[in-house]
Amino acid sequence: MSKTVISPRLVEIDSNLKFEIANMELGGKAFWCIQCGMCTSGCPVAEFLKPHRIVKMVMLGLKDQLIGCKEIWLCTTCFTCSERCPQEVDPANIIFSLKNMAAEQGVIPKGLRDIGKNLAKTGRVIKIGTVRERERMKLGLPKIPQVHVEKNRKILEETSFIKTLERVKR
Amino acid sequence: MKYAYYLGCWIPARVNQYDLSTRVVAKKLGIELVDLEGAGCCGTVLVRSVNFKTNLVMSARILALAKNMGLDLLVLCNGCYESLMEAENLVKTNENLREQVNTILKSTDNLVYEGDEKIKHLIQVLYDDIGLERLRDEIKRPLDGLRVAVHYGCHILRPSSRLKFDNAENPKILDELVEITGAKSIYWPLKLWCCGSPMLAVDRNLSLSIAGMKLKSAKEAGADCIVTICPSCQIQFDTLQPEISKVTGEQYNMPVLLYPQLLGLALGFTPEEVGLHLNKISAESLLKLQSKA
Repeated sequence: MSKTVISPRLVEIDSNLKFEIANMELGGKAFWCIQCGMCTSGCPVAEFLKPHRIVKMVMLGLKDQLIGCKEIWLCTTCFTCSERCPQEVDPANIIFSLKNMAAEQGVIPKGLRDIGKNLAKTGRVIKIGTVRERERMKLGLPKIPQVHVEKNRKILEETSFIKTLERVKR
Repeated sequence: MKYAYYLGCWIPARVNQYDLSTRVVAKKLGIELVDLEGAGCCGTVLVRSVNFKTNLVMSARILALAKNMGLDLLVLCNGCYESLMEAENLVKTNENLREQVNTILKSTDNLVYEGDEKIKHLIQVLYDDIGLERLRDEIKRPLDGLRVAVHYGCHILRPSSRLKFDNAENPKILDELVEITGAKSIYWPLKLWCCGSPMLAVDRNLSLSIAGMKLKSAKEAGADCIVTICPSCQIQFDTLQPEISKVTGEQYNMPVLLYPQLLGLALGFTPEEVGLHLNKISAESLLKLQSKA
């Protein structure tokens, strides 16, 4: 993956980015985008995150800007953009792939990092307090099914989730 | 009618009334629920944002556990539904990923997953397996005149090409299920919008202000209540409604019911039996509308 540096050096371009994204398992075909803006018109956070601009930036190879930006983390994952895109670009999955790339480099919002830590500890994204256990008993609900915490943790290790979580951007 | 029953995380941690009302309704309709043991989180979009493969393997593990029980899998949470459906698609269509998933599952549980577990959301079971006709026959105390703002939640609808639930731009399943109770599903402009929940952990104020816009839209359309089928949406609209008011400066007083709570009331169960007392925003006002028959 070679980086082409244009001169004068305004910004670094990674012309391979669109292929890199397309080859990630979640897919997302930035090069089919015709910039019609259908995605952004239905986006609930369009004021901050404009999917068609994200896709354009992928086409331009503006990797550093994309990976460092807050906007991609504001995606609500509602998939309205992917549902409506007439070109089957799948902007939502492009954004997922970008977030995965950012996380690889240690960029993860604190809230998500905390959820990840909980997951590693308990096998769940949220801790179930004893208050809830008591509430269930009072309601006559059966005990919450046991989680195999160790098995879950092994999945997190095998998929490098734990390592990713521990990475912090310099 | 027997299903493997998977609760996920948010329901036992925050929304026990969803579990309670589902069990009450299921028993009445002859649906047998067998708890799925050993299953943790499905991974959800929250984990997918950090590492998509982690999400995939976690979901595939749950599908494998259910398949070993020899039962179709019934879920209550849209987040779980989306995650499991996406995993099912990937395992079936991507050989390379299937191998990676199974290498890991073999090492953790000695499990194998090759696809073909049937995943059903509660309301698909009610709509497809029980059917509107049977439900109509069971209604004891119709909720005539109740104006309901139906909220599907994103992760049951989109992307429709992969989730295969209903027409994502004009869904009908939940509307019809709501109207079977005698209530009316009203038009409200932001009906199909996201509740904002998935980025609550990233930008709390923005997330809550999106939920606020939806509550306002429902209120302005004259809704008596919102009906949801997802624990995250329920938490957002109901549990966090007071906090939303603090962010937006507006009062909504909007009761939010989970669908099996609404159905349970119409089937003749008491508010207590469907766990209405566990909802944050009081739904007392709605009960006055109900006929005593």
